[in-house]
Formats: sequence, structure tokens, C-alpha cells
Amino acid sequence: MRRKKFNRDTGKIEADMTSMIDVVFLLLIFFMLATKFKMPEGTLRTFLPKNRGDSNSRPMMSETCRVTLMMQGNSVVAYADQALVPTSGLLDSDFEAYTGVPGPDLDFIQDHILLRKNTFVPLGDNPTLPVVIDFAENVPYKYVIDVLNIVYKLELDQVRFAMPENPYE
Amino acid sequence: MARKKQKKMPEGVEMDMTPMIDIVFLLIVFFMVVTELTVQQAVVVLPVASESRVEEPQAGSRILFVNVSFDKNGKEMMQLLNGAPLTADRLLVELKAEAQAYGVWEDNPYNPETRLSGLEVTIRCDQGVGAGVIHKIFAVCKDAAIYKVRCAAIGERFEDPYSDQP
Repeated sequence: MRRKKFNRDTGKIEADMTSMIDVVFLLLIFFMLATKFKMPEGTLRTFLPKNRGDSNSRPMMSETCRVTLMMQGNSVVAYADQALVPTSGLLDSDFEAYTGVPGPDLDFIQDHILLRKNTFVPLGDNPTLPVVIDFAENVPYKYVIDVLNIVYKLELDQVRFAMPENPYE
Repeated sequence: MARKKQKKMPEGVEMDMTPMIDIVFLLIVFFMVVTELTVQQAVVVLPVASESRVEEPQAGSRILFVNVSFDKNGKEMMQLLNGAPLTADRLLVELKAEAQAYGVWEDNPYNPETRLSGLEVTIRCDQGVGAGVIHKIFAVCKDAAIYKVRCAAIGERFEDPYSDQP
């Protein structure tokens, strides 16, 4: 096997780089094709309350804003307190484009919570308006996160999730 | 047909390959470092939430990822990382064991008889999954004395996650 060649003109011994470059380019192409850049994932903080004891559903005495999400057929129906949230006329998200079913108007929910926030009178251990998100188990998770996102956008940090009697079922 | 005369390089002139090899090696090292060859997480289409924050884990903290996605038959399933599918009861056993193994406990100011685990749980749930699973995971975390729970989301999406689906 020829590993080094003698250059008569310069009098130097040179290594043949061709095969190494072949392998290196092969590796480069492999890694370029195999690489998939990962999108940075964030989180929304949903820390569980420490002071709930063993009770899953303790009645809340203070003023709250309640957003209810439920399914009717294939559509998500939302209520902001007692107000029925109109359906968005557009397929706003990739999920809605995929299912072909528009979701509730998120701007309506945001405006409603903002109105409640602005008229909220701080009381006792609730310096900001507590928001309760009450959702049926078959509502797509996306809509729960949409409501949670609105709550954080309005700088409200007291979020509660309404829990069913037996969540394990 | 007349063929072009090949230009001959003057004898004794050689291309210096060193800078090219340097760059190629640099690229290889870069791609080797950023490539994830093993799948550490289940494939999940996370929901988009503009308010989601990328938080750097604190030194010594431990975060467990609970993935909720669809299996091959389109059925919802829960996993720890990309492990075997778990029921809520099994997840409770696993989380209790993880909390014990982690061994960091905090006093509960509201109930001095109980302690809360310092373990953190991040729920990576597919946006199309029924949200009832969140009830289950919250209940499991509560029963495992874990209160630091977060829901994963991405700030912005640049490609359609359903483009390869019918």
C-alpha cells in the first residue's frame, strides 16, 4: 500500500490526502442530512397550589373569572363567565387548518378577562383576579393552552383548573 | 467535434488543501455536536403560546418530562420521556419513586405534616390530545407531592406540523 510519496522536485515526503478528504466529505454530507435543528421549547408555569390539602375541589369564596370550554359535536364551545364566546370565522391555527373546524374567538375571551381585570377589586389573599379554566376532557389541549396564554398575557398569575370529582377516571 | 484543450497546470504548482480541510473538519465537529442521533423525547406537536418562556434549569434541579401523544393507532398515551406507555396509576408509582430517589423535600407552609418534593414535572402534550389527560397528570402530581408542574409550548411555529399527514 502506498502511503507516502516522494516529491522529486521539492525533496519532501507528502501524504496522499485524497482518501481522507473523501471520507471527511462523506461524513460531512451524512451529518448535514441527519441534522435536525430542535426548536427551543418554552413552558407555561402551572404550579399546583400547596394549600389545597386533600380536597380536589374546594369551593372558592372570592370573585373569579371563569372560562369554560366544552365540545359540541366537533366544535369547541366556550363561555367567558356566562357570555357565549362567538366562533372565530377563520381557521387561525395550524390545528384548525388541519381539522377544518374553527375554534372560539380568542380575542373575545381576552377582552372579557381584561374587562374583569380592570374592574376587579383586590380582596384578601387575591391581589389579582383569579381565573378558573374549566374544560371538558375531550376539548383539545390546544384551547386550554390558548386560554392560559391569554391569562399570562394579561399578567394575571392566579390560574386555577377546575378538576372533576375523580380525575383518574 | 473539436475537444477543448485541457489547461495544464504548470509543473510543481500544487493547491494548498489545508484551509479547506480545516473548515471541513470544523463543519463535521459542528454537525456531530448538534445532531441528536438518539430520540430522547417522544414526538409531540406542542401548542403555540407566545407567553411561554424558555427557563434554564437551576443547578441541582431535576425535571421529569411527561409526554402525551398519539400511538400508531391514534390512541392517546402517556410516557415518561420516550418510555413505555403508562396508565395514570403507573405514572403515580413512577413519579413517587422518582421523587423518593431525588430526595429533595420542601416544607409545606400550609400543612406542616406533609412535605413537598423539589422534583419538577414538565408536561409535553400534543395539542390535539383531549385535555382531560391534564386533569389526570395534575392529580397524579398532587398525589406524588409534586407541585412544580409546567406545560410545554413553543413561542412560534415556522412549519406546518401536519404537512406530512393526509
